[in-house]
Amino acid sequence: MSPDVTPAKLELSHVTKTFFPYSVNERVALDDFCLSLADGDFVTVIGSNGAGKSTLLSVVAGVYRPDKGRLSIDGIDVTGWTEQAKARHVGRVFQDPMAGTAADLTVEENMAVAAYRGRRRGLGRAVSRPKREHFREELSVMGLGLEDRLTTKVGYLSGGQRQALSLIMAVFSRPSILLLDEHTAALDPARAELITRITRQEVASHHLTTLMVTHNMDQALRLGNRLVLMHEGRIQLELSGQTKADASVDELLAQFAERTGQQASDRSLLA
Amino acid sequence: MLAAVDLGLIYALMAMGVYLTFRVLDFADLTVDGSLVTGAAVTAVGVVAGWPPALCTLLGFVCGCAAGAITGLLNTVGKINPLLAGILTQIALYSINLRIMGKANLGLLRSTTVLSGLRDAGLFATWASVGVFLTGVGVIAFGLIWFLTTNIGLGMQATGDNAAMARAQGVHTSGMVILGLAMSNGLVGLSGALLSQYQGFADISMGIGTIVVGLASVIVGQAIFGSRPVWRAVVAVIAGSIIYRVVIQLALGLNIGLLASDMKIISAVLVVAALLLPKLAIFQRFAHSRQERLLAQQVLADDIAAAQATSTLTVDRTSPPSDPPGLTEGVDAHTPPVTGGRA
Repeated sequence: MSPDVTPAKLELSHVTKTFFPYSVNERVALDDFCLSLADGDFVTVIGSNGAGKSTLLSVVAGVYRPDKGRLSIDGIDVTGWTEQAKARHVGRVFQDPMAGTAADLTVEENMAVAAYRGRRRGLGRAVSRPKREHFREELSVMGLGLEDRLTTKVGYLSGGQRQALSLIMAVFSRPSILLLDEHTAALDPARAELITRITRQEVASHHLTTLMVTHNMDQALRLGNRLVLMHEGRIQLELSGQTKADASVDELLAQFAERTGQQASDRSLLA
Repeated sequence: MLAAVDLGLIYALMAMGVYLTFRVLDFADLTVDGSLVTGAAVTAVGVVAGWPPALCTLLGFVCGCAAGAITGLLNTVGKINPLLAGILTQIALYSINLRIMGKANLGLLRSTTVLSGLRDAGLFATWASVGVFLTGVGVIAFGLIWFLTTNIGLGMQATGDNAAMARAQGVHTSGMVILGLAMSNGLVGLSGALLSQYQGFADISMGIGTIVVGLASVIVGQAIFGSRPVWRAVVAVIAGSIIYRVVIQLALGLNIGLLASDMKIISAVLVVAALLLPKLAIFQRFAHSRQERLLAQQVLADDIAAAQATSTLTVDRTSPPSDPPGLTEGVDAHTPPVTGGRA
């Protein structure tokens, strides 16, 4: 263990996760995986299908428990914690815009559910006037007009709006870690660009430590201060700082081919 | 006819319970056929033994809660399918209910019940009894609406709507299912408790088809009065329960040879009709055009914002080329949005 005074925001040490062990379908999704995020780090994760990107986020979120290794958030060992217990520290946006919000509830009700993430839910009024003002304020930052539609059922919103709402709900309670799971992949280019812009803005203004999985190399290069390339459950390449800022998609593809020995096309990474 | 309204109001408590599981938690709970009898049996035995009737009625509620909690545990901890979990508890309750009553039918006409005052004054099936029941049901309905708008109630709503989202937001979805089922069957038990005191007996077969009656009340009521916001849904369920009883009463009074025992098939047909009618073309066209109007107003802002974002930032050129090129210019406001309204 390093003698650092301030613990890492997120630390995965020697984490292993195998699906269907001891069967013909056995698949090692994370193989002795180590990654450490300092406060304010924004790490983008790329890799081919089955590289273990989504498993990584699921393990951090607590959907899966690692077979081996240790996971800590803010220096607290959270390896065996349930998803609900971790929710206090972790905000998450899913790929599917429908997944992150409750369709039958209104915008303000969804916000109210998110406002109590990781806190004890009691018999207090879920949506009160001061809370409504707070929600309005939080939503108005995006400039989508959602703040004027607090009582609209979320099911009536478009995919882009629902994803923007999911994002605000994830960052609303200022989580220690923000997890973004290909959260622009299901959107058309214009809306993906919009969500990318809001992501950049929210992460910067709240100084959020972020782990983002993406299939889009250009997005991986443009966002964040560190980039991680995964293959077969391990980190094959990491870029940070100026190296990352200077890298191009072509260079990244060349690196990918070199590290993995695969004939890398843009398509294989985008797939 | 006022007798039907009396019964409708007593059964409205049961229907609110079914609303809580079927609509709020999205859990088709068949426990109710058993827990209604449990509420009635416990109350009847207590009343006959001369216990305070109010306490007996409360016991009916508590025993209903326990039955619901067992179904909840079977489903969440035991990972048993909701329908099967409910059926298992229901069938087990049949034996338990017989044990509680000691026989298949227990009369309590000579005992003092919470409704003795009304009965002795001959006020059953009058505006007085309707007023009393309406007040009681109103208070409980208010409590239910209040609960659903608290933080914990909203967590329960989110659990039924999108369990994955609820978990990601730290809602204890298993706890919500258990709590919801307990509350629901508590209401059903309370309904049974009042029913036995109103009818003057508890019977082992009085619960058969309760779930269908509950569903009929929920579906018919909400088809007429709507389901959002929550207060409207609860009021609709109460109205649905009264409408159901009145319809049954009218059907029996038509003199076309219907017997009281035909009530079950009438309920089943009513529920099937309520479920199928909205699928008919004529209703669909109406619902569709309404949804399109809503989307047309609402999606526009998103498209405008998306278009603005595109014009200020460069378009992502590495995106898969399969995307229609028109989208990047934000001109898709004319075409129906493919991403919206898939609730």
